[in-house]
Amino acid sequence: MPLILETSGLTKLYGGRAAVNQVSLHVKEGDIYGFIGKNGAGKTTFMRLVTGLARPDKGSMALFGGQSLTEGRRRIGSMIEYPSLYPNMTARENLEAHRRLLGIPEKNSVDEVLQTVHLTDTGNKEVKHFSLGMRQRLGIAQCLLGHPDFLILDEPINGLDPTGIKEIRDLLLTLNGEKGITILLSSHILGELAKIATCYGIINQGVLVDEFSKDELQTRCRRCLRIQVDDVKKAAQVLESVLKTDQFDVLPDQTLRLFAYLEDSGKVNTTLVQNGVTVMTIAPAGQDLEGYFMQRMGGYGNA
Amino acid sequence: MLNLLHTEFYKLWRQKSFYICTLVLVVFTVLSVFSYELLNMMAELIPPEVAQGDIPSYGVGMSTSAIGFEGDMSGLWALATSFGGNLLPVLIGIVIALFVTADFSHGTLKNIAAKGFSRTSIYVSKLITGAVAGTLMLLLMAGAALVTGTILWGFGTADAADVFTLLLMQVLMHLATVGVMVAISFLLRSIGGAVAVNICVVSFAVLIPQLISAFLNYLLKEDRVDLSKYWLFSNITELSALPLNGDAVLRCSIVAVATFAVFTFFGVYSFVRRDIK
Repeated sequence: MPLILETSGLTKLYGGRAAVNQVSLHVKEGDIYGFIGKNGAGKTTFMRLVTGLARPDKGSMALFGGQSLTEGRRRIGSMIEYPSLYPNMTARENLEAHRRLLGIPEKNSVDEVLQTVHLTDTGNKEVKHFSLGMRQRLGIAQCLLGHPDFLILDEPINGLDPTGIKEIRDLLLTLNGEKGITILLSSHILGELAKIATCYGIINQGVLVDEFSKDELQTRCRRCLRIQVDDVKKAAQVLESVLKTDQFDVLPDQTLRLFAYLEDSGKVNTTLVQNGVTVMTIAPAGQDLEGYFMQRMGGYGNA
Repeated sequence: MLNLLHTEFYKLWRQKSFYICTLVLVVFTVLSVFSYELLNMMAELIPPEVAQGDIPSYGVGMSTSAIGFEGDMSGLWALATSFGGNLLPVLIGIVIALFVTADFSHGTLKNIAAKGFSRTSIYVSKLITGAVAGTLMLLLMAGAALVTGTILWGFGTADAADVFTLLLMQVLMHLATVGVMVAISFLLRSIGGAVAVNICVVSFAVLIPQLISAFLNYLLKEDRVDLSKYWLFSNITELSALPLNGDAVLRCSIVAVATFAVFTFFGVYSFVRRDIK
């Protein structure tokens, strides 16, 4: 798949401190890229660099395979930090102002996006009287004007109730699945992110510490038995010859991860011991995105 | 750029403060003209030996430079003297401050900048929109003064070229005013700060060139330096009487163009260099 966004060593300094430090990130066409990080990790700053709201001090970026940044940014819909709307205008007026900015001749494009986000019945209600969920949806509607190929959404489900979260999730899945829009999405609600993202990037203190696909995450977070033994080579032979399984891998520090016999750890333990392998520890392991994120951050105490 | 202007004007026409400030301007201009008629009527009641000195300037938009027209008040006189007060630049300052800083405070400037428009074109589009708003306010104020004055005292007579030059010069100087206000608003980025500073610049900042002049005169031990002559807002009030003084017109033109250029340069320079939050 061609790359929609590729950054190379992107760096932004504030007062000598790197808010974004040498970030090389890759978003492929069709991805829903979950961008994960603690508060102040550099997610928003990175998105501001990509959208041109801030200038990088070092590094480079390419949009849509090397198109000029100005042209590329015209193909992006973005919502950074919060929906940027005129509170004294109605939903329609806000979108009308944006339609004119983009030079879209079709006036019905405003109605189309209002329908997409289910905000057609707000009438003359000014945006300042909207609920947070309605503002978020209007913000996304604004992003959708002009049929963007790439959406950059910073915490779009922040502060929403469960119904609102589901609405946004369904909307993003529809946009990605039916309209083929690539999405770069940050969120603190990792459980929600895990439901829609196809790729992930973890940023910590401005540094992109990991970048992986959903499949890779499943592999890394797969449920398993973690077995620490005195002789890994011998233990591997026992697993293959006696237990007839090759579903394991070997980690450093004399540890094996066994992806079979998950409900039968006793049998595994007995077999290994009977074949001359000393088992120091044997315990079930495996985690979800949240657990993996916490692990990458260095444990719950640091996240 | 056209798209930007299209959007900026859409927003301007939906900005309530623009209509409120314009209405206040027109109402106070009409009241000011009426106040001169009231003063005339009072003057007739006061015995000549009691009446001393010039007619005081009670009108918000009027200045004592109108005294030259005493006994010859007319619509054209009202038009010229309407430029004598600070109300128009103050209200332009408020409208511009609210118009420019709204995009910063609502975060909507991000929507524009993120679409790849250059910072300079964003600044220029705000400047052009502000200039149109300011010119409309000026013309409405002048029209209100002319109509009210004509109803009270008749149209009056003056050299058409002089009237045209006066209007042209006032438009030029108020465009410079818009340039100053836009630059201040882009620099401060907050509604309260920009409104306050814009009002102060029109009302009190003339003290700065006056103080510098006084200091220089003290150093030179002569009274020959008067920097306030080159202060934009002093020039606006100076060109509020007919017939026009040719030297003043030339000086006002230079001051207006220089002020506009300097403030616009610094406004664009600062905006281009700073990140958008």
